[in-house]
This record gives sequence, C-alpha cells and structure tokens, in this order.
Amino acid sequence: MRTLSTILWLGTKELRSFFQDWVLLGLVAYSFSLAIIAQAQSNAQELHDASLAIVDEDHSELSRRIAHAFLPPYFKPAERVEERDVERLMNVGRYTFILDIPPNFERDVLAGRSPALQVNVDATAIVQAGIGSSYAQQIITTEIGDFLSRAENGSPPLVNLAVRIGFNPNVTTAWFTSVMGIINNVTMLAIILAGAAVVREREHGTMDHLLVMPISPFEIAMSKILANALVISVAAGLSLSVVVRGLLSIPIAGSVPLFMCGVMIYLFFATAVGVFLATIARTMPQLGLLYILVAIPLNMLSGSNTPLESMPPFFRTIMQASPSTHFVSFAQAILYRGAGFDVVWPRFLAVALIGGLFLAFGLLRFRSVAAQSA
Amino acid sequence: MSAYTIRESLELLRDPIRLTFALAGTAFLMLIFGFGITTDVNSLSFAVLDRDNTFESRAYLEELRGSPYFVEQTPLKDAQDLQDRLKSGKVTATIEIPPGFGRDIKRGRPTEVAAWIDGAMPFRAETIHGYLQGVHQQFLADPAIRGNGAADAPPSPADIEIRFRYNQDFDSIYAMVPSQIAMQLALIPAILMALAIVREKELGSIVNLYVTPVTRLEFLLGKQIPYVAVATINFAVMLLMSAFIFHVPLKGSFLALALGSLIYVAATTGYGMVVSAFTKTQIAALFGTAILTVLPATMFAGMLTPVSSLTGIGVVLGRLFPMTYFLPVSVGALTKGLDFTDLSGHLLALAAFVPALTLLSLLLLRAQEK
Repeated sequence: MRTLSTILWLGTKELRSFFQDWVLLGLVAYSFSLAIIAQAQSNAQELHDASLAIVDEDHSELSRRIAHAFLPPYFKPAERVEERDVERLMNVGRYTFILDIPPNFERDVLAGRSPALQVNVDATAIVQAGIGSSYAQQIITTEIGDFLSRAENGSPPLVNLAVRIGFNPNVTTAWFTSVMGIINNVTMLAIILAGAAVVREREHGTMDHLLVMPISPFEIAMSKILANALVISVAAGLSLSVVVRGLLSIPIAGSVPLFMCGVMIYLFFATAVGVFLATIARTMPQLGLLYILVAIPLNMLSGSNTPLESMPPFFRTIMQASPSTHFVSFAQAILYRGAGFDVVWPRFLAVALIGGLFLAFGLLRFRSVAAQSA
Repeated sequence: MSAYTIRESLELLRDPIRLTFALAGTAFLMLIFGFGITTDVNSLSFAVLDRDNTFESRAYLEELRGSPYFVEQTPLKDAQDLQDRLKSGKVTATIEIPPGFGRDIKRGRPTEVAAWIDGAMPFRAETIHGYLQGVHQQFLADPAIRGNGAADAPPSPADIEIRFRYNQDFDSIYAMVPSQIAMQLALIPAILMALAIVREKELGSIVNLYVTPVTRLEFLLGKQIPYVAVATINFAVMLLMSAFIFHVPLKGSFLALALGSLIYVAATTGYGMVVSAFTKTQIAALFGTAILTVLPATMFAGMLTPVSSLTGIGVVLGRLFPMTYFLPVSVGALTKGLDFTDLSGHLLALAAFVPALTLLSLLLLRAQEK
C-alpha cells in the first residue's frame, strides 16, 4: 500500500516536470497530430500522380488513345518527349515511366504483327515502379483491346477475374499510414521519455536525492514507467479518436477500447526498454545513440512500414521475439479487420509475456545500477 | 573556433560508448536495414476454395502455385473459414473458383474467379492485385484452356515490353542500400549535434560562451566540425559495406558522391543545430530531432515514394529536408551510374542548405539569450 502511494506521488512529480517543458509538450502534440495528418496525406505507398512521358513515333489514333488513357489520380497527364531525350530524362529522374510507341504501331497492330511497345521504368523508385508497371500494362492492353474490338468485333475473354480488396476497398493509403504513424510514435516516445527521465535525474544529480529518501529503486522506476505510459496512452487515444477518426474521417473497423488495452500492455514493454537503456547510458548523448539503435529497428522492421513476409527468414524469426511486431499485427487486426479479442488474444499474451520479462529485467538492472551509484 | 573543435573532439574521444556507437551504430543499422527493409512483395500466403475441382480449376490453381510470389496454405473449408482466416491475417489472399467453372469453359460460357485480398497494407494489396492479374493472363494464354474454348485465338495484339532501368531484376536492395546511406547520415549526426549544444545549455556550461570572447558562429562551427568528421567516417564505412556486403557497387561518379555526402552531413548536422537552438532540455532536443528527422527521412524524402508524387504537408516537410536532395545523388551515383554533371543540380540545392541552416541556428541562438 505504501509502495503504491509512493509510486503515485513520484508519478505526479514526473508528470509535473513533463508539463513544464513546453517545447517537449509541443513536440508530443505535433507528433500525434500534424505528423499523423502529414503521413495520411502523403500517399506514400500507392500509385499516385506517377510522372509519365510518351515518345510517340506513330502519331496514330491508337497512340493518342493510349496517351490519353493514363489518368489521374494514378498518373499525371502524359507529357510528350522526344526519343533522343529519353536517356537524359530517365537519368535525372524527371519521369518514372516513359512509354515508347514505335512508328507504324497502329498499322502493325491491325495487321496482327504484334509490334513491341516499350515501357521504360525507373526501377529505383521501387514502390511506384512495381505497382505502376502492372497498371501501365493493363491500361495499354485494355486500350488496344478496345481499339481492336471497335475495329473488328473481338470477343471478351472467357474467364474474368473479380478481385475484391477486403477491409479497405479503395486501397486508401491514409488508412494505413495514419494508424501506423501512431504506433511508431508510441514506441518512439515511450522509449525516449522513460529513458530520458532516468538519465536526466542522474545528470542533474537528483537521482542521489531520490536514493537517500526512504523509497526503493523499484518505486522510482515504476513511477517513471507509469507516468510516461499514462501520458502516451492519453496522447495515442486522443490522436486515434480526434485526429484519425475526426479530422481525417478514417473508419475504424474494430473496438478502440480493445486496441487501447493492447497499447497499455505494450507500453509496459516500451517504457521498460527506455529504463533499461537508461541504465546502460550515463549521459544523454549516449542514450540518444542507444535509442536510435534500438527504437528505429523495432519500428522499421515491425511490419508497420514494409511487409513482414518479405524480410529474410532470419530477421523474421528475430522479430517474432519483439513485442513491436505483435503490437503492429494486433493493431492491424483490430483496427482494420475488426477482429475481436478471440482473434487477437495470442498476440496480447505474447506482448504481455515478453514485456513482463523485459520489465522485470529492466527493474532488476535499475536496482543494481542505482545501488552502485548510491 | 579551433579551441571549441578540440574540446568537443576530446569530449567525444573520451566517451568511448558514444564514439563506438556513433561509428559502429551506423554500420549496424545499415546491416539491419539493408537486409531487413525490402519492398519486394513475396512469400505471400494464399489459400484456395475450389468449388469445382475439375481439370480446368486445377490448371488455374497450378498457375498460381507455380508463381514464386505465393506460398499456399491449407485449402479453405467454406466462406466462413475464408473470412476468418483473412481477418486473423493468416492468409493475405484467397481464391475462390465457382462450381461449374470447368464446364463453363468447355462450353465457352463466361465465368468468373473471385479473389479476396487483405487490404490492411495498401501497397502490398496493390502489388498482390498486379501479381494475380499476371497469373490470370497466363492462364488465359494457356493453350490447354484455349483449345477447349474458342477455336483459334488470335495472337496478342501487341507486345508490351517493361524495361526496368538501372535495376533489371527489380530487386529493392539496389534502391534500398543507397537510401540507407542517406538515411543513416541524417539521423545520428543530427541527433548528436543537437544534444551536444543543448547539453551545454542544460548543464550550464554554455556560460563559457557568454563570458569568453568567442562569437556564436565560432561556437556553432567549432561544435559541428567533429561531428561532420565522424559522419564522414561513417560514410566511408557504409560505402565499403554496400560494395562488399550488399554487392551494390558504385557505378557512377565517386567524386560527386563524396562531395555530396560531405555537403550533406554538414547540412544534417546543421539541421540538428537548428533543433537544438529552440529546445532547452536534452529530452526535448532528443525527441525533437528524432521526430523531425525520422519522419521526413522515412516518408517524405523519396525513399519509398518519389517526391513528385507526394501531396499535402508531406511535400513541404520533404522539400525542407536535406535528404530529399541527397537521395538522388546517392541513388544516382551508386545504382544509376551517373556522372558529376548529371548530379550537379542536386548538389547545388544541397549546398544551399548549409549556409541557410547555419544562419538560422545563429539567429535562434541569439534570440534565446535575451
């Protein structure tokens, strides 16, 4: 009981020092509002406004039709360029796609000679190049098909492929990036705030003050973990309900309370990582470096940015041990696919178990390091 | 100024943890991200619901199984199973073949295959969509199917050649490794720089600056030089790693790349300097630099999406971030094999950042003391 009240009081102290730093407060607000909106608007992972140019050496009706078939929002209107400029334009990265329609293309198509049409793709713009080239192929095929069927009454293909995209029918990237932005922020903030709270005490020498008081290192560490976890869960909850749902009007399929439960479980892990790192680092610059080495891989490889399946098997196995992977996975299941507790409980359990282990480890280390310096 | 440089260098050298992490850390991250971040979409799990089970339906599924991108899971039992497995994320795509599929093909009646794709990750969904279309076209072109249906099908009207320039196999490592060099040179130098300055403020040793006849410019530049030096070593290490570990050799101008990266690290440390000028505590500086660099670096600088396709606030954030201009240099020199003149435009834009950022942090530092 006494421990609880001590933790509570130390926690309020922690919160006070947090609210006194206006710049820090502003940065947290920014990262959960404006930064989320910016990510939602960025269309970072879909084909959007891809730049396209056409070398039209045919000047026929068909070539004009193909040029006009590339439409926004996927492609910018096609610009005409000369053949001799292709090399240079590709080099400076002016266009991601350059189509080359050879002379007599229409005539050869009509005569059934199957002429070649070249699509040059800047393969260094990987996401766009991949999706865009299959779009381009389809657009051109359809356009030629239409042209031919008008000319000679061709028949439609025998088997049709009806593709439906589940949970996000229009494949809107904002749905994905906004929520993943919140998730990345949670990891980042939790580690920095909790870690920095410990290191600051040490650098200012106030850690000694705390240690000579009749309170245990366990209470100190727990108060920091709880206070910072509280700040972050409030920020994440507000961000999800006000920014994502309200301002960006992104529908959330599943239960927000369930997701917030998951966030809190996860926060125990993330703040414990912060405290643990703080026991290794003696100064803030050291903590900054450690943070980068730990937090950024946790985020970037968790599946919140790039698909998990495509990573080398070795990494995939390691990342299964990271709660951030499970966090991303249950967040996607709850928020996009509307999964209930019956589906996500193994993930919750995994986060709780690994998080609990880490918490115990962090606290243990904190105690021994604190004892040394005292 | 040189006094400050020496002092800061000494501080750095006497802090083995910081120095080791600053040097080895970038190499470590490069290793992880170079292999770990990939936008190649493969090993996708799919499951089928074959309600027909005839020669034709099996032929269709064979096409899918033959594709290197897909890994098959146990077949689906029914429509409920399909929804459940999609929901839990155990499969990312499902294929359903209707009853009477084979019969309809034989009689020449149009029929339809239904595919569901998990849209939780939009870019992956789009890519799967493209793959499925490709498999579908292959099936349509299969002579065994055609022979049964319409008699002599005409040859395809045109041959669409997709040429992936600079990266024939379309392997994301060739774009990712140069991007990682750009990203690593943005993160760690900026954070170290910001902390180096705010540290003095928080611990009070900045008073030395106020009481000695050192100008602010000398103070800032003196602090910056050691970090530029560290970052330059990082660059050299990463360049070697890209050639020998990732087998992404330098194809273009070394001079342009080296010069570019020197200007670039001067700019990214400058970026950290600006952040440090308006923060008072190290926590705020650490967090501020982290969110102000990580987000633009991963999202808005052109690493995954060309900057020309961005919309909204992202454009502004991207344009104001030095990495946006270094990325074309790094990718251009390493993967595209460009020479100095091709890259000079980007180099000039990059160079403009250095005085601009220095001036800005000078003004902010001055404003602070009043």
